[in-house]
Amino acid sequence: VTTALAIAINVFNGQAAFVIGRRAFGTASAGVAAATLLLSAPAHIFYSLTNPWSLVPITVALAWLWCVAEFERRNDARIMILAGGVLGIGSHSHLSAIVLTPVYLLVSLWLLVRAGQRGARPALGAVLAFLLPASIGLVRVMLEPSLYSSLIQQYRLYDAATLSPLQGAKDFLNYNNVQQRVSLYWGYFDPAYLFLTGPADIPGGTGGVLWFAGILAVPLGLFWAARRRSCFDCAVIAGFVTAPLAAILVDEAHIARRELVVIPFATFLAMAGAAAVSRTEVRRRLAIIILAIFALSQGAATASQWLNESPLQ
Amino acid sequence: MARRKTALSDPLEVRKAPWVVWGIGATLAAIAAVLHFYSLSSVPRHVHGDEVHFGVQAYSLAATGRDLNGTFLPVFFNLRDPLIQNHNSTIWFQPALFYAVAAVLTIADISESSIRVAPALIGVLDIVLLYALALRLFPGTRLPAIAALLLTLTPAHVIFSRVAADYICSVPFVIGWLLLLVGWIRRGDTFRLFAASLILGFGFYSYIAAWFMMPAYFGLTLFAVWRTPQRRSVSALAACAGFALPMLLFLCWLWQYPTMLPDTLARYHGLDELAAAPSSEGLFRSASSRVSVYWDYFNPSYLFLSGGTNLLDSTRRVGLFLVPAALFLIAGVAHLWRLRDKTIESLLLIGFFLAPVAATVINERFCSDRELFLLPFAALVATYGVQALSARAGVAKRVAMVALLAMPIQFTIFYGDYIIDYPVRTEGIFDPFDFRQIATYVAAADAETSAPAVLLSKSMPYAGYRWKFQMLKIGRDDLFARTRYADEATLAAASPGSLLIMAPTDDVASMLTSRKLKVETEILDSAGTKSAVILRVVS
Repeated sequence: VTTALAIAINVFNGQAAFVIGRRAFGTASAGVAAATLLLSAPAHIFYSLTNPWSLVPITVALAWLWCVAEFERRNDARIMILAGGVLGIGSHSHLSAIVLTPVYLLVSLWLLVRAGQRGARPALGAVLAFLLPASIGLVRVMLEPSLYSSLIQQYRLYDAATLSPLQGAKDFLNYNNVQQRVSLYWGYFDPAYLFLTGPADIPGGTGGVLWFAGILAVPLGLFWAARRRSCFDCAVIAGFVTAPLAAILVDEAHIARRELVVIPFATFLAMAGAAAVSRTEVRRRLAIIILAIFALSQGAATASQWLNESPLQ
Repeated sequence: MARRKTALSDPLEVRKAPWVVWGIGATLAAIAAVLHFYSLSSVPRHVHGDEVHFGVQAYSLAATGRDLNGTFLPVFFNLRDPLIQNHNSTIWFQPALFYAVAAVLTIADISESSIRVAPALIGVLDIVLLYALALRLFPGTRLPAIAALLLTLTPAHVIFSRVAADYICSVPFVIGWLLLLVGWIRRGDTFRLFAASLILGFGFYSYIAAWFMMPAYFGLTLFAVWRTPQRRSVSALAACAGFALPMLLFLCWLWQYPTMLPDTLARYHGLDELAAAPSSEGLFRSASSRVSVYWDYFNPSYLFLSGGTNLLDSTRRVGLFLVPAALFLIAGVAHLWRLRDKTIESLLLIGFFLAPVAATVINERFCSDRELFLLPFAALVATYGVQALSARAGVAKRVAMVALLAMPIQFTIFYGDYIIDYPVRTEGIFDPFDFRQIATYVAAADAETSAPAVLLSKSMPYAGYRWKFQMLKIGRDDLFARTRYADEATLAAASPGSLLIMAPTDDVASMLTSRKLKVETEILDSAGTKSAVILRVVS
């Protein structure tokens, strides 16, 4: 079952990355590069081999990004309502999705306003489309209150046995905790963790969550995307900077499985960064393909290391 | 937009009335003096191990012109234990603060406050110099005053200006260098460039991190020369000559004391690791670790919320900077990035991001004392941020105003905590044994019944210097002359009546059963916790 799930998720994620990459960068080769980059990210490979279920938030993020790319192309508010529905369903995919999908919904609403869709209807539609599937979780928590407190206890957010949620929030937001969470958040963008020596939950590898080449390509892509600020760029930047929000709720640094959603956003940023280094269309394509080849070779080496030498055996 | 940029970047167009300029400068200096000198003897409550090193050596320098080892006007200070004859030490300290403290001690008695006067004065000098520099960078007097105020209200600057340690000593050299360099860029006067590099060269002797940073800033000087079209070779020559002159002292000292350099480098494990030429994987891991350390020096939690991890350097309730400074720093970096084609603006931006290099090389995380080079750059970058935000209309301007007004409020909260609570929280860190109380007790006990010898436990770090400092302070050289470290031989030879000073972690109980000793008293800190035990040898 695990292998089947891993294959299904990899096929879907690869396909989705291809479609979005082709749409955002205008060529099929960019689509192939996007799929290659996404599937070659060391953390994606590692969790495909060990715990494919933790990759599902990536699938949700890709589905949302597809909606954003389509919305940018057609400027049709109904697509954002669809995005709301996708996010609502996606909120059940993984614990981290409970935190991240509402964030993506907020970004979607902002993008609607930014695109000139100022009426209340599309926004309301997107919110309702999100809440309908998402509220199933709320109903479940109401029917089974111990589920909520056991989750809170499990991740040591606060003492749910003695404190109400409001008291818990107050306890959680004390000065020391806030400075600790800010520090954790910053740590999740540590270039050494993202691109070089890697996360605490991935053993033995010499790669980070992402590819070595990303250490140049992703910041460059961030810079260019922030300058260009298209609808898709804004969604990718927002996704990238909010990726650790779920991870920092737990007081542990550099745990990749809690912020795997960074991979799709970093993929498109890295592509934007590679494209930014050259002025002609041909060179841009070439730069993206070279980036993908680097990522693929690192991914192949990493996969072979894990399959042949590492503790995974 | 273009017109606004021109107006903003050409401050010389705006006339500045001298009496206003001097009046603001004097007011800023007075504010800084109050903040840095208020309650200097009791905040921090005790003197730290590094502070007693500076105090004791500077006292010797002021009295005899020699350090404790007898070296006449040394360039670097070898910190041998004053209680051990012919002690062989590998610890070398930079000279700047020793001479500054010695200058104060030529006119004042040695005490907690007198040894802290020199760094406090350096702190005030930083503010005045930064104001002078900002006058050259910004139009009018409002923004220069804000720049100086931003530095004045920087918690890390206040904390480091109030301890007799050399961390703060590099800052005036950096500001002085920038002041002259900006003057050279604006007027093209080669002597200023020479003087700027000369200051950098002397700054090399201010603090160990300056060994990395001053050459880095010299590199920035050459970058400025390269960006300037006229007389590049003459300018480069002047800059090199200025930096090389003070370096001759270093070379002469190395010639005379060749072990000084390896001794010093060996104290920093991060450098050992680099020098060991590890495997490619080791090198990769080492480089990755440094990338991570560098990244963390811009961690917002460290910069704006908690500060350095060491309680000696931070109250842990405020960052290196106040929270509103974050807004101005971000705006300032963005503004300077837009002006990066201009030499001065690009210098400031590079200088800002270069600040953690020394700490990164030796692989130490959140070590604010190694990163104080950041402070003047941050104050200037933040002022550019204030300038950029206040030039905008609407919300950004109002937010900037609110943030500016919030700064004194947060600073007041920090300063209150620093003056009232921080000394209590850190008394066990600055001096875990409370040598001031020990010295007072032992001196009184000796006056009552003369102690033939005073024996100090070896388990108390910096005990020789701490004890020497207290003896100098109360003028009891005679008591220091009778002091030895406690070991089998000195304990066996101790005459009845001798006093033995033990750390609370020492095994006092077994000493009491195995030797003829009695507990004379226990030294308690303000919380009632035992800091030391004083025993007396009985017949």
